[in-house]
Amino acid sequence: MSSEAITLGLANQWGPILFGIIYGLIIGSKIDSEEINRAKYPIVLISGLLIAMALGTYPEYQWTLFDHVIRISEAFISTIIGLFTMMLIRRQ
Amino acid sequence: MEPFQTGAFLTAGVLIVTGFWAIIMMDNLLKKVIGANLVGDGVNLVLIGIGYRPGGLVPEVTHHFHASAVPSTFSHFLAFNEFAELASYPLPFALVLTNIVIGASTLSVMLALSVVLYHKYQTLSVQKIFEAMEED
Amino acid sequence: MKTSEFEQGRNIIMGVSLFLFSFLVLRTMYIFGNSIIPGMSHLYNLYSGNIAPNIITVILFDFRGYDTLGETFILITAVITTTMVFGWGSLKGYKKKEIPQMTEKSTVIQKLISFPMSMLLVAFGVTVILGGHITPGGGFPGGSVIATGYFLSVVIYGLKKTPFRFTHKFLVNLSTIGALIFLLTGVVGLVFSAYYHGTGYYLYNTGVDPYQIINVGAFGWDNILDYPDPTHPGVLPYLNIGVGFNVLAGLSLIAMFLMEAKKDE
Repeated sequence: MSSEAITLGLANQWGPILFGIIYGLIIGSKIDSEEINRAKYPIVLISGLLIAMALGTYPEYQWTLFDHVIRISEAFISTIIGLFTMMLIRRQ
Repeated sequence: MEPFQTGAFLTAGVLIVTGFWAIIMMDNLLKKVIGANLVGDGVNLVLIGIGYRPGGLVPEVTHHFHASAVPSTFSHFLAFNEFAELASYPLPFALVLTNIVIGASTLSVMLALSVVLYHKYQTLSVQKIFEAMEED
Repeated sequence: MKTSEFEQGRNIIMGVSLFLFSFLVLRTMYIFGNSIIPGMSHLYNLYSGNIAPNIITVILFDFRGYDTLGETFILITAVITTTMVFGWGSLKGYKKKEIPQMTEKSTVIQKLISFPMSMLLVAFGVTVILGGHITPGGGFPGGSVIATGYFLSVVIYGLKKTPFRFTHKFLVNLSTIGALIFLLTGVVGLVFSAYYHGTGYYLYNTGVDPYQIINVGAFGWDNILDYPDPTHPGVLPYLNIGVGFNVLAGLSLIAMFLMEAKKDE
């Protein structure tokens, strides 16, 4: 973990993860994809992961998990996870 | 005065004048709506031009300034002093940020009223609307 | 006297006066740069940087908090006016009329790519909203980005087949909930401001430290709601979240009403 992240105090952000999942659940509860091909979902997941890693190159976006620095945008990936969780719950 | 700033203000003046010309002289209602939006864009450009500073920083404290600070003390005031000297004026950006959303709201109201006028008179021409109103 | 009779003279008079007006505006704009004093920003920058790193957010929600509060209500008022113009009846039965030219023109590539694109835009908008106090962005741009994702799917698939089934009622509820979050978070500044100064005012976010009061402490989960910073942003993130809900719902509602406007009846 870099000293800048410590000084910024952004090393352990559970707030964006929580609120990102809440946003994803709220918006995902309105997704009703009748004619949408399900083969697109892995594409969304993979590209979402790549975009989250690209956003995580800034020092503001890195955080630690079990003493490992993970350069990933936690709000982005947790929103995607929330969307897909709600779609799994509603069996789409 | 920077030539960039003068250019921005002149562009804003051209936008405002074009918008007023469209509002007053054009016959079509949609062109009047577009003119009203142009006036708002010109005002936004004036505000952004006021906040311009040659060689200034983005008004946002980056980690470069935070790195010399010790948490939970007031020693980072000293580091911010350098930043405060260099950063550009942030108040116009905040004004423009609200102005964009307000512009979208007023645009929606104007478009809705034009839709109602079109349903009533079957035309968007102001001249024909006036003539139809005088015939009533 | 009919309007068409004095049209010619009116146009000439208006043209001449507009010409004079344009000359004055352009001359004013040319001189205007001389009367700007750079360096006014020093105090703003010095104080704002100690509240949250993004100074524009600090000005938006702290120094000009009442301004932003009124602005959210302007957005709600515009939505209500648009709803009244098109009729409250569409709120009850929401019969979604399909405009045929719009969906038939969309090609296979557009239909294939626009739904994943909309999901990614929603996620990016949430990122912009939640990082509003440390990175460029905030509630207004983030909400606009989410609404843009909704527009994209609506324009490509049409209002009937769009995967994002936002109903009118849901969007109205979301918009009002966002404004209520803004209003009620201002009360926090009234009650719990003990970090820097003892005085508490409505929408006074500078010294608010709600994390000392809401301290769970068990299982190491005490920082769930915390944005730990050497410079405490106070309640700025939550204000961002409320404004994000408001803007997302308002812009989506406006676009939905304008797309539902019947063509000819």
